[in-house]
Amino acid sequence: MKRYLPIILFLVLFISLLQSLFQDEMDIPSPLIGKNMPSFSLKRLGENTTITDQDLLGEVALINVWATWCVGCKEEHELLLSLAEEPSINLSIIGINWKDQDQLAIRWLDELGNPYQEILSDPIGNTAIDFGVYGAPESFLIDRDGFIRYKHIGPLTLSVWINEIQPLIKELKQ
Amino acid sequence: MIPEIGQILLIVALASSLLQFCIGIGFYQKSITHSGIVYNLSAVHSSALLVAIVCLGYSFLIDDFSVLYIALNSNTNLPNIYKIAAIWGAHEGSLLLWIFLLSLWGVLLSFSRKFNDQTKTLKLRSVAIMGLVSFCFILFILYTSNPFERLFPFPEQGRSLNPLLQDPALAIHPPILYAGYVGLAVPFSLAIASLITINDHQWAGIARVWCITAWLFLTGGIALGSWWAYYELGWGGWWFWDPVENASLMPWLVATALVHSLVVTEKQKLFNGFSVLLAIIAFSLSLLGTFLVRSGVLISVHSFASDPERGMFILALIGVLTGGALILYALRVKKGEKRSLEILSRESLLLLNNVFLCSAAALILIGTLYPLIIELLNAGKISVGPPYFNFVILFPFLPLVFFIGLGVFSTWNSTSRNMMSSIKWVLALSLIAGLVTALIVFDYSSLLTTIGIILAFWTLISGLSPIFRKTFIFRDIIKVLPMSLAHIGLGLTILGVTVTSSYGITFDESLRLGQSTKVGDYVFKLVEVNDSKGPNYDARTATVEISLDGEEIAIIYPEKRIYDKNSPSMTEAGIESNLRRDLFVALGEELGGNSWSLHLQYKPLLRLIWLGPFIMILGGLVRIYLTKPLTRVMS
Repeated sequence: MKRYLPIILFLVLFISLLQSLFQDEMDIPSPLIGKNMPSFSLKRLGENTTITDQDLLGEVALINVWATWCVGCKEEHELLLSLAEEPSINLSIIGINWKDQDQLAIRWLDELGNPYQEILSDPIGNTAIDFGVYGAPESFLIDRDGFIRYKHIGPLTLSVWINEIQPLIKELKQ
Repeated sequence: MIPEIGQILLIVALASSLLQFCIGIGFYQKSITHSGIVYNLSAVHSSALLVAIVCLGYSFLIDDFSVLYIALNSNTNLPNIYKIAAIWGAHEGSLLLWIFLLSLWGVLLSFSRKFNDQTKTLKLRSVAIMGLVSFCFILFILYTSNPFERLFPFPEQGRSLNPLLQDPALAIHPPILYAGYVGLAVPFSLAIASLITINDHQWAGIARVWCITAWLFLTGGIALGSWWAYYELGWGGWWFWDPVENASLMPWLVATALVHSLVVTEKQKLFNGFSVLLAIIAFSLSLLGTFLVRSGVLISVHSFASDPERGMFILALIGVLTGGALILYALRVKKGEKRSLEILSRESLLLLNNVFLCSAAALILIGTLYPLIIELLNAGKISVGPPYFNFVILFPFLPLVFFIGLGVFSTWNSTSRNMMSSIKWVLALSLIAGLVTALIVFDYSSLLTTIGIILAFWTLISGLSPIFRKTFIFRDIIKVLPMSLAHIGLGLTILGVTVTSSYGITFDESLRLGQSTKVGDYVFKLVEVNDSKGPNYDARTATVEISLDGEEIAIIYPEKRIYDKNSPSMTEAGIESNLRRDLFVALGEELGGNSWSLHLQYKPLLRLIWLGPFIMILGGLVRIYLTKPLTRVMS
């Protein structure tokens, strides 16, 4: 039996890797949905002031985890910009700059435009871990009381916005 | 035209590697009368790949942007030397290099004279397996990653090579590392060939030299990569535990275990099955590393969807090669003879340490795969990253390093009677040296630091002792020298890692021109900041004066380079170093009012981290080139 142990272990690993290839990332339920957002206290990007989770309460907010090294973040950037610029939407978009260097992030926003009302800097990634983030970009919709209502993994697209996020925001704002 | 020739050569290589496998493995005829053809086929397929690389390099040099890969990875402003390095600057080309180096190992094996009449079949079958591995990867390159793909309409100018890659250390780092990865294919092939032929310990002695050679390249590649990260990435770290680094460290750990296990199998005819298994695992981890790095599964879980084909293909290859090898292992491996092991005999200690090395590799594998694991278990949040690795790696490493010292004094088959008497002195010396270093040279920092430093000296002094223990007979010394050097190197690395991480000083500070700050005992003064121009970049250079006790000891010039306006600037750190310490300055942002942010570091004994691997490599070279010939001459 002992001689079959390596191949059995290998099969377990192989099947997990295979499954991870096929896993539809959009469908992973986040254990955090419906729960209070984790508490944090982070520096504002490029500044010495801090902001905590308490400061975000009172308004529906889209928290977007991004980094300059992430290709998907560039993809969704246009959409975020147009959301921020459209007055009828009136959504506060909060960025968490994840595992990044402040100077790179500032340059990135200077070049591409800044859709964020607030940008928190999370260079070590502790807050992102509390949010259950395991890749960038990821976005969370937070209601007025600070509960996580929705999570999207990967770049935001127009269809995700129209079909999933917008209706939810309408519901939350009522 | 030239790219098409390259393309055709890839197909030639594909066909010849397939023939090499089919004829060599004995489907067609069990006897080995065809071995000459097989060996020549391996030379044919390797030469075809070499010429294909030359074709690609030529197209790079003449700026043929009609080739997609070149348009994406080169431009006319690139210095010629980096056009050559650009061949392996991205996925397709680096894979081509990977496969070429693999085939080169196959050729070396084909024309090796280390085989005798008894091991002739072993040789033929192992060359056949090398052919199979080559075939799989040439198929992969042709299907999913063809470097010769044309682009139409083609652009006038190509894209820039990632400026991070325009660096001599990085330009030669991938070939060395790849040579190590694919070098592990040789012990793998020999192990498989042994399973399907004679199925005993005879492969071990042959595989050992190959394994040491591959291990040398891996050691060199990892050390170079770490050195590059230190001075080029700009923030003065030397190991980041990122998936790419882990992908090289895991095979290294298992290859280290394999080198030691092969000694036992060769000399004591023990642990044959374990050695076979290690050979399979070491090469499989190289493949897994390729999968993790190339598929993008880990770098960003999301970028993967864009190109699932490559990941699928590599995973399929891992399934075929590793899965096949392990099934063969399960079916064919013979139960070793039952022999009771003395607990403190050399074979037991080596076995124990190989288990520790494998556990270390397993812990790193778990940490590297954690995003996939939580995804599958849906287990919520796990905090992994440097804190995880730095913590868990201690569990296998502390006992490992302790037993390394014991192992040096042990003897085969029995508990050495003299063990205690020789150990006494080494232990006392290590304790004294360690305590003096930890408490007097530096100040007391923590218990773990103190233990780390003592263990470093323990490894170092126990490594040295075989050279001085015996009466001074050159032949005996040359025999123990490789082991001694390897252990001394390890001891130095441990010393460097422990001291640097415990006593290093790192901070950011903004300085106005003419202002100075203290880093440990050293005073850093920002003198001026000037603009200058390089061959294909604009630079901003700071002049920093360093003084100690009021005496100026060095002027260094940290630099920021901007290669093109759309990509972030590159940091060229200013480093003043000697064996005792590194002083490091990276230039940050201009803050206005003539003030600049600077990243400052004082890192004691940092150089030992790279001196260690260098000495380990010396040990390996002595073993390969000196030990056998010299002992033969002298006996």
